[in-house]
Amino acid sequence: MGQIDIAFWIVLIAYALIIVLIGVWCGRSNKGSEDFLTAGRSFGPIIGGAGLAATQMSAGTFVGTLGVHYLTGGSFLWIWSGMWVGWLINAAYIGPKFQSFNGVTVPDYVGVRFQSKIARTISAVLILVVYTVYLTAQYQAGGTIMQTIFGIPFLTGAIIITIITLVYTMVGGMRATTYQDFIHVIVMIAVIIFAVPFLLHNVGGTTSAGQILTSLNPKLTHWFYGVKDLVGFGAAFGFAIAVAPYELARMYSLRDKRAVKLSIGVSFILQATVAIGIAFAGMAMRVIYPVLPTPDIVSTIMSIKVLPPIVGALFMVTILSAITSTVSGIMIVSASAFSIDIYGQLIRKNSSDRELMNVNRLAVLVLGLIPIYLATKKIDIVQFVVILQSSLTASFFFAPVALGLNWKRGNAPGAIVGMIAGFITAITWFLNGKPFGIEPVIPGVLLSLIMFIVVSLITPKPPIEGLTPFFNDRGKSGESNMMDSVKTI
Amino acid sequence: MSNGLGVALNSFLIFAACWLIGYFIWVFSDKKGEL
Repeated sequence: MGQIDIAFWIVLIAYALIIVLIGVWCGRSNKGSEDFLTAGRSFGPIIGGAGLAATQMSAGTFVGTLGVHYLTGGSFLWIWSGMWVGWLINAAYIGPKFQSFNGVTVPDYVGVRFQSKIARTISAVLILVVYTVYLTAQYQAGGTIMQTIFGIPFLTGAIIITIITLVYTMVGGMRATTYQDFIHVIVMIAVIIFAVPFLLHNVGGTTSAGQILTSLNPKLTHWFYGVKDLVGFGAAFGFAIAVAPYELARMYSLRDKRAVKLSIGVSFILQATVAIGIAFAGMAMRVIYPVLPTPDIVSTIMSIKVLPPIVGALFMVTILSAITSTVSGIMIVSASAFSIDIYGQLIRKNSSDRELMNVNRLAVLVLGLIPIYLATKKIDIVQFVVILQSSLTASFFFAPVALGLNWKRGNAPGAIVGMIAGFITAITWFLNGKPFGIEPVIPGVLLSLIMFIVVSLITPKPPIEGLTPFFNDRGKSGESNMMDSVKTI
Repeated sequence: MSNGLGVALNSFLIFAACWLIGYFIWVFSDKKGEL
């Protein structure tokens, strides 16, 4: 597998140059930490929708999901329906409220809504923990790809991917990340449009492919996963995507509520195209290579051995860019959770904006390096590491965000107990081997919701200051008050 | 929309088409909301 076509190098170098140039250009136009994290709250539906889609479609999609389709056929497509229900909940009840709140970091919301520094700090710490798991999956995918293409050690491959991403995230912030996402999405869609017809032609059309797959295993063309499995996976993604901090942070960068709903619609179109494309690709690859050692290398083999050189090279770039765009989106959220919500709030309250920016860049570096160690442990195949982080995110964050934005009675004690109970339940459930075959997200979210409601009801009502930004209409003066309350919590 | 890759995949294609149409109808018919 060491024979790499010259096309791959040309495409990869050109892509890297464009990405770095965007990072530098955007880095020069950033004005302070708020602008770095929210890109001036200026994006519309096309750029915004591409950003939402690119952040969501990570290595989990192009390496993990494609591999699972290779292994199990078409039924895994139905997990997208769970994810889209999550997006619908977000569009109806969460995203528009989050956008108009005008915060800077995701824990800002927790701090203001519940008027509690403890709740804010807990949410920041849990985000850091969960996103370390998520970064692990991305590095694992990146390391596997580099190992397969170049034959270099897994760890070296993971480090190279990490350094490229860290550099452009530290320099460019949210503005660079979102513009880069837009380019990633254009490349993703172009590659799918070229690659899928080519693959189907290669396997003699869908009828012939279907017959071969059925002869390999009849479940590949039917329901490999049953309703219980698909509901479990779908719920893990759906609950998580409704409140995913890396997607909520994007809401701050959108220009208005209209842009939020339309962006989610644009991201549906992009997600559907990619979802269906990689299902076709995974199943076609099973026909061409019925036995591969691990599903995580299917997409790499497809790029370098099956697709024409330019398309293969672009597909490889798509995978690498899916990894880097997700990593940078996560970095922005977890580094700001540390620099602004933990350092700026607890360690040095009077730190200057310049100091916060420097701490933020340092946090990107440190938090980006920790998961490299975890990636070498290879907890599970990429797709299932991604599902684990989704379960954990949903379990601690669904109740305080979904209920907090829509139920006035919810208060700080409820949010604190709900977050901790959900997280502990989900991780315990996972470590005990998922009793009864139920995904950790189900008991995690359920217990978190119950605790949030019960504890809120038996403790005093929340202060009015935390409710005004989310439940009352407000004019421009209200917005400036809001920014004041963000800074003081 | 039928192809030879099986019922699970084909049923999802129909679902996805309906979902996209339904979502945009919902967004553009929101008179009192933000559009």
